[in-house]
Amino acid sequence: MHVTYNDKADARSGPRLFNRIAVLRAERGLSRNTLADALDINYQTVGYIERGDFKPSLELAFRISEYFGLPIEAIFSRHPFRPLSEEVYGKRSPGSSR
Amino acid sequence: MVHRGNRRALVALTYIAFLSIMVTLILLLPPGRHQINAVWICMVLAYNVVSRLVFGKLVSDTVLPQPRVKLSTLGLAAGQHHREDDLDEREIAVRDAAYFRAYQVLAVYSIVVWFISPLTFELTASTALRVFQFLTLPLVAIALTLPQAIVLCCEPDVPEEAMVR
Repeated sequence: MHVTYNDKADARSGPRLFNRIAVLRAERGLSRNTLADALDINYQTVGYIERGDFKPSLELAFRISEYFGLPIEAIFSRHPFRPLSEEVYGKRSPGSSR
Repeated sequence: MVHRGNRRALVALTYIAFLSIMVTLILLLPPGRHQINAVWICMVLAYNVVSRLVFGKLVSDTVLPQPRVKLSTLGLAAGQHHREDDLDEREIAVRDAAYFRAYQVLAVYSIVVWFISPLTFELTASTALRVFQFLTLPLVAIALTLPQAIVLCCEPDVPEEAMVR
């Protein structure tokens, strides 16, 4: 959790935390409001977390993971996620077919 | 959410208007008890008009809910502000960052006033009093409202697509 209102401090706030919340939400047809109500947070906070503008606490990260029923590392990562299609079907060159 | 450029303009205009009112009161009222009343009027205006109606409404539309406080206490009484369980963790982080930044600004301003105050020793007593009031009254204006102004000035714009709930 980090808000500084100071550009230099923001630069020092460490690496970005990537997440798949937007994908999971879209996949399950959940609105930001629904997810926010379930997690007991402001719907805008959901947007901030999705965009990577706000790093949730460990406690909130666990609540999100429990809500989606997925391990925490399936939702949050310190490195960019590969697209789900690539993970499921493997990497293919553009235009290639089975 | 109002765009940050507009929020900053609103903050600047509000402070210019409010400081103009304060300067006018200082210049028009004779020194003494009337000016103490003027300072009180400014504090009531700062809290109830600037903080609650102008900044507070906008802040509550952006990131923080409006605290439920009594008008007469200027929000300075203990236990009237948000309890931690009224806010989520991002709102708490935003509030704390804004209060910390406001504290820094007020501390720097107070130190600057302290260092330049010897310049008034050469002036006559009444002129020195006026100068001192001009320098310190902005503290009245900003002390009650600065955290909200900082939130309005610094909170980033939310992308259009993120406005959909």
